[in-house]
Amino acid sequence: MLRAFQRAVFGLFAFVLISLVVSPSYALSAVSLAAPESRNHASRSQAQHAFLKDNQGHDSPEQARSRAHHIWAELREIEPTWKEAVIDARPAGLPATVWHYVNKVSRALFMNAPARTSTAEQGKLPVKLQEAVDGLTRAAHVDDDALFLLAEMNFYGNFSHPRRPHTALKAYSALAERSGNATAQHMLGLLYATGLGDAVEVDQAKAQLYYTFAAEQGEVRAEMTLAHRYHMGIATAKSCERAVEYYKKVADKSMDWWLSGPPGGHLIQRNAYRWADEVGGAYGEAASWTSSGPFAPDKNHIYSSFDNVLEYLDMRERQGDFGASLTLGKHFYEPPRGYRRNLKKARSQFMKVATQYWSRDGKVNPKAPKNIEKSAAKAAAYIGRMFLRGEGMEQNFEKAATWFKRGIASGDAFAQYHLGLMYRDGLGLPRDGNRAAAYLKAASEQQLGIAQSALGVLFLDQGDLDTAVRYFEIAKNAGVMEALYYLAEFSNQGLGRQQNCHHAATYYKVVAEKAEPLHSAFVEANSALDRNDYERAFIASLMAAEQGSEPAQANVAFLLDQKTSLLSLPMVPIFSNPLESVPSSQRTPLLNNPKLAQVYYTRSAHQQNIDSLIKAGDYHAAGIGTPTRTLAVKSNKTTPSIEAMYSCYSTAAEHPNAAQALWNMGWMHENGVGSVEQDFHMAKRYYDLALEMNKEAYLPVKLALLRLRARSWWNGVSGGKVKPMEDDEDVARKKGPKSIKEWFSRFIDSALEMEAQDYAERQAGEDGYGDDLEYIVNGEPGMPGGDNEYWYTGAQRREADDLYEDFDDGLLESLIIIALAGALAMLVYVRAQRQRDARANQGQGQGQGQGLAPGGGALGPVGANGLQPILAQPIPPEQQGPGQQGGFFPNPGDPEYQEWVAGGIGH
Amino acid sequence: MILAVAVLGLLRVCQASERKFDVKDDIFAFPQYDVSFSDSYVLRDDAIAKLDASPSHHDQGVSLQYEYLVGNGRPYLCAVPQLVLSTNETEENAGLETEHDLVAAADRGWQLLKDMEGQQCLYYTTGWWSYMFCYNSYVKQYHAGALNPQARQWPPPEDPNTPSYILGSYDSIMKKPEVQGSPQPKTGDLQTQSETTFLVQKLEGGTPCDLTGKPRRVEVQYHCSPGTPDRIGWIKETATCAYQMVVYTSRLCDDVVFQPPKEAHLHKIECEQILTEEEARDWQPSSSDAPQIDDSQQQRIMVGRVELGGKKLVGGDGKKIERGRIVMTPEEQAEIVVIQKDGQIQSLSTSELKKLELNPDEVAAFQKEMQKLAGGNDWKIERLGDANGQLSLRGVVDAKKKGKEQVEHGDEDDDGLVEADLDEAGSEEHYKHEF
Repeated sequence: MLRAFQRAVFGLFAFVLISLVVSPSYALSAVSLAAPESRNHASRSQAQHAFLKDNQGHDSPEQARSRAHHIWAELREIEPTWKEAVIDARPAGLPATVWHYVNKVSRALFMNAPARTSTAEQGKLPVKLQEAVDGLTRAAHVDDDALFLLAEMNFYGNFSHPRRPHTALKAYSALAERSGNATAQHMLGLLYATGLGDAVEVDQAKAQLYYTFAAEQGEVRAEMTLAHRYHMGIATAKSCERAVEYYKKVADKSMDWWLSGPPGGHLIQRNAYRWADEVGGAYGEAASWTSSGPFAPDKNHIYSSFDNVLEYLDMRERQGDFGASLTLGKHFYEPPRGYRRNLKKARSQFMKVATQYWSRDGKVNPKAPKNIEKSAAKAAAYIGRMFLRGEGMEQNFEKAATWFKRGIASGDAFAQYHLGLMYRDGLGLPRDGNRAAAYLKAASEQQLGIAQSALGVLFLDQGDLDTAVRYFEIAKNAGVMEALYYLAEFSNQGLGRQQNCHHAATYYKVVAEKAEPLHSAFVEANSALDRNDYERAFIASLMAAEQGSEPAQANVAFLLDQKTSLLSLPMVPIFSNPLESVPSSQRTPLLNNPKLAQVYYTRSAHQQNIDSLIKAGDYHAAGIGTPTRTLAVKSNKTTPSIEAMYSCYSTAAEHPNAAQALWNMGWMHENGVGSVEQDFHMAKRYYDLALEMNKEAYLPVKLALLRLRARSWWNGVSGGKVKPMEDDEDVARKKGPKSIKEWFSRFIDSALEMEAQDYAERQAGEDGYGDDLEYIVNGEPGMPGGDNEYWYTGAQRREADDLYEDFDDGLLESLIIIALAGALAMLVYVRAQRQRDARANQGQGQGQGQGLAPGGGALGPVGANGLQPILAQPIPPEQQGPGQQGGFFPNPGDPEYQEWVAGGIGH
Repeated sequence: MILAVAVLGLLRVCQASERKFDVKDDIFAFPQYDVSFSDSYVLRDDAIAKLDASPSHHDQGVSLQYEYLVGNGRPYLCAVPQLVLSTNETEENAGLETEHDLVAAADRGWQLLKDMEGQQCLYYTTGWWSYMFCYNSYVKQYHAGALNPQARQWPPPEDPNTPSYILGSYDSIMKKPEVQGSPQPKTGDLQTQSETTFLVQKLEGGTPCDLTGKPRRVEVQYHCSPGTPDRIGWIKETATCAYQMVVYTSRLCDDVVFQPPKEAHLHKIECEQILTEEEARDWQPSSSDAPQIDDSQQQRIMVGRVELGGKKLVGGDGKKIERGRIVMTPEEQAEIVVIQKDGQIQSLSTSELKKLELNPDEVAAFQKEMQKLAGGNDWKIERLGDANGQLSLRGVVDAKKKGKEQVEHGDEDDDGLVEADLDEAGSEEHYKHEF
């Protein structure tokens, strides 16, 4: 067991280290740990090694080994220069700043091109690399390290080697077969599960098999992947118990990893974040769930970059603000995501503050500035911590204790915590649990989460479960990994509480995901994205995504996503789409995989990402990822699933603040798609709600409502079947118009009538109630409520009133609509013409419903992100077949779309 | 032949059939696989033969593909079922092949639901509206308006000032001509979706809708949900004045047709260890590691890497650590400020009181009050920490003669009113100073 664990951890290091190229020795010992077991049982398996046979000449094991190590050393020379995984914190001081920007600009000007060769390029390798590969291939016949190295190079694209998933697959399977290497088995599972780069057809059975074997041998990534698969029911039956079983294994290792760090544990930094959020979410600023409603950026709050913060602090420091010095020090000590830690600078900052308060001999300086005491105590705690952990200076417990005592003299919690640890673990001080507890308790009283958690452990050790639970519960609020771990244990074992598998799984998962460096390469993925090295970013994210990390899943989908939304059209091509994550010019075959995008949108959606859920709906509409009869068989035929799309949208719409989903629902009701009845009133209600959720949607919603009125009117005058927006009893309407003049007058009438209806609704709503907003925001499932008065909240009414102030003149509104209708009639004609042409080309007509007659013009749904109205998508009321309620997805630019419209709906 | 048995076990019909989309399912939710390690073994030569053979087709259309894997240094042969598509679409319907079966199943279902009639109606509240559903009667939408908004009442009472709407009634079904004629009135249909079979009733003839002019209508679905009381799962408006409602009931679960799909779709991937002839001779099926619990072990509870009550860090020397204030309940944080014991009054010094953020004058005033209240009994005044940082004083009168009396006193304000409330036991009197 221990060995298996060791192997897993080492295998992991192999991955991280090979990728980052830090030190070769660990990586190589990783594979050699896996006992080479050359039982070549089957002749079929020999065939799998075929690629190894291409080269003649075999090495003896010793030769092979030394050759492999030699090549490894040589290869490191080839590695491109961008090893730096994280950006340095911006330098302070003028010259340094200038240099920083010069660097930045020159990079932007000259070095923007992708640094790597892509998978697409299968050309010749550089001579030196080719030699290395040849040598490795020869050695690989007998040496596992060489084989492993080859596989990794082909998979990750290390040392400028092109990514060749297919070759990687062969090398991994050869290694797995020969030695049962857990890492290789895990990678095979990954390749079978994702079909990455078309290396192999997706085969979830084999994926499950290889993941299971890798996990049995203690491969931590495989354990995490299996946990996720059991938790979410991916290619296996959902099982909370089995998910917990695997998550616990990972969480145990995460805790071991954390504890293996210097006193106080490894630094836990969160580098997993959703890339889409940086551009306002998957649907862009204001339209995405993550950037609208309560998540909308606060307009009153100026968001500044970290660089600006540093600049500001720098300025404050010059003005003698010791608080700024301290904050700067903390920034250098624990920098925000993407910035490199700078211990030297951190130390000098802390010292700057501390020496203002204490003289050399540790006496308080009588001339110290006022109010510096607290800041100095904090600085002392940090200095002590750096001594305790040997960070930026030599580890020295004695000095550490001195500094902590200085901090404690001023009652600093952080210092109390650390001194507590020193007593607890006997670091330079006699081991003394009671004193440790006293210090930890003092820090806990000051709301220090890590201290509360550490104290909880002491109570656990004492056998006082009740108190321990209380401490862990309050530490949980600060997100302390240790506390979450013990709470998971309690829930899992039913200690001091009811046994609860679901809680245990959730907590274990959080713990496992906090120990990022143990299993994932988020830092690498993030920095690869910064360099526009999309493939590398993709591979690193994909692995984390398989392991169940929601941000990684969203990121993979984001990279693979090729459209902002199927419901929106890039109306103005002049503006390049800011949301296109990867420029199409760089969309290599590896990144051209919409099916995989759908897989991860779906998984991300199952982890409460509403934008992903809506995206999944978009993809279903395009026929991507919907279960079909063709099982695991690749087919390029896509069958759009309106039901699946509706299912996604309506589920998302149940969520609070999902304006985009409400909008889409409105659109579906407006057009009557699939089994959704065409119902203008419901459409209006959804549109209004979308506006209520998201004020930025003002223009699109208003345009949609205008369109809705026009359609409702058309429906009325032409005797269409969609009723809700008007009066059934009005027989005159049913007769249909006789002249253009009559049309117009009726149009205006109906507009006025709707106006009146709206007014009545609003009036009725006035005497409504107060807590409805809460109810909508808190979003009970379902679309409750019947008569729509109660759907209008106070705010919404105000909004509506504003609108009517703008458009108070009904006649003006009508005229606008008439103008629009005229324009639309034109467009409709053009479009119908085009469709006829297209059909002629196809040579056969597929049913009716295509000869689009000029009808109630409609603006297509407005782009989610954009405020751009979209070209006409007319609905031909007269010619709608019984099953065809009109309404389709206005995405005529897409060739698949035409096909779909032609043969899809209602047939 | 152990081997033969193992292989035969795999000769199940592995079929993958088309599935209804479920928003909760992963893209790869189906087919489902599970890896299991067999207790049997396979001989090396047999394994090689199997690996060399092209995927073998069995009678029932299942083929097994063999994979060779190594785990913990031991070689394994794993049989991966290759799924073929089922052509039989009705297969999902748990044997409901003919129209007749369907009708019979529906009849049985309605029979099972019969008891719901006369039971208490079901309620459901979401946002503004509440819903009331009475089986074989009607569905009503109304606004719950309780006289006392604080009290949570169930079922939610109807607000008389707000109009309510009937969404559909059972009468509408019974009035239908085709139903009226038949001896056994057909009240609904049987439907199957996402492998779940349920009953559907379409109730019509509700309150006319202002917007469409038509009566409201509601579709009620009855799903089996084992082990729970009858309840409304959700209700939503699918179109203007048209609703859909799901009722979960355990009653339907008595019939296998309505039960949720079992794990029958889990396809086993079976792995066996590969042995040579010699190894096979000494082979013993890995005894299912019967946990050898010895009694001393059983007492130990490990939480993570820490033993509960292991006393490795604290408590070894007999000393005990006490919990800090931050995790104490206000009750536990009580601190005696003044106490009268056997007629002797002891109190904290003024400076100590100030340290506790108490106003000495106020304490003195409260003390007088307490002496009055307590009569001849002993009493004490405690300082209570409160969760939201509010301090208050509590006076407790010893219960010897008069029962225990408690007086609570707020901090920092002088002219509050004294309010006394007896708690249920009557043994304690509770006085609170409020502002």
